[in-house]
Amino acid sequence: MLKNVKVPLNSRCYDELFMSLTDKKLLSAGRYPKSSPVKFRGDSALEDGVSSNKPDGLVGGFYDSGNNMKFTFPTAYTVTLLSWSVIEYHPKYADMNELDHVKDIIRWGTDYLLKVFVAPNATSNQTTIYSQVSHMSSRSTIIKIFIVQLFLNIESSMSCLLLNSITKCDARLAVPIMMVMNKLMTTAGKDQKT
Amino acid sequence: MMYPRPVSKCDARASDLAGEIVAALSASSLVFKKDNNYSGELAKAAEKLFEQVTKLDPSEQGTYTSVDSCGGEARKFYNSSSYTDELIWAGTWLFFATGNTSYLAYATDAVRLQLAQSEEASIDGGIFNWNNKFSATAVTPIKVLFQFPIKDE
Repeated sequence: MLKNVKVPLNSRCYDELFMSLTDKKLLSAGRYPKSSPVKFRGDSALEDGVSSNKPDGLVGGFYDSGNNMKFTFPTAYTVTLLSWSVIEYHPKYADMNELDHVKDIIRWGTDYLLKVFVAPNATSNQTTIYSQVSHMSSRSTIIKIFIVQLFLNIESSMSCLLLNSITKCDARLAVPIMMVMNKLMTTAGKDQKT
Repeated sequence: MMYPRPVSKCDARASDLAGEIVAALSASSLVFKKDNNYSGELAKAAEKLFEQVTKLDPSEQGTYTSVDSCGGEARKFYNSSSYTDELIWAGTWLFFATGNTSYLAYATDAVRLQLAQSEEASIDGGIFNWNNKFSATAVTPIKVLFQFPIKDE
């Protein structure tokens, strides 16, 4: 019965759907698709799980949140749920012109899930399932690197926009800021080595 | 990225994690039905994983967060309370993806359903979420009844 109800475009329902799908795009890891409506994201985590016998490693999938960790369990759940919604309501997705969008996202997830499971083979007689990429212990480093990159980006690409507003182009204030940045960079560097 | 990103590894004993992956691969194989190769690849991987997981002795099966090397960290984020509901969920979707009734028999096994009910009904009020698929496992097979109604003899 529900399938006969036509969803009007530009409705709130449509906006919510589009935003929730875009949110999933926002959290995509790996070789980032150029077609994404989120323009400020790029490639990331291209080294995840890469080894000599797993050349494409565990590149791709979805980040859990801003902590950049990837969990397989909720990723699989998300793919199941999105797939179920397409199976039940694909005419509605098509009405809203979002069918290809949601299928793209599902495929992003399934491509990752296919990498996550390795059946017993010639080198190992055990089933392998990867449950997680990146650990909490990496988090303090991430925050430091994020701050450093933020400052570097602001300096180079945004022409001191924020830095100028903080310092009001006052050279006396710029020096302490540079010192904090320098300290953050050196401690972040130390964390990486250990 | 500029910092180490260690990987956590599990084996076939991580029944809930495997079950959810099987459900995801099976359901998505229906989404990509028009792309025969990809759809087949997904269903094949799902069947293989399901076989590896369900052939284990029940005493070896467990949740992925109960093994430190597998889900020790995930415990703080996505702790799984039990695995029976995920295995039933996997069997249900695998049946829809392949049409093989042995998966439906697995998913509708009375002993297994009762076990899942006793484990899940009290958690989060039995509401469907990433940790509790019990209510959803009751909804999906009803489709089968609509398509093949049970006739009174």
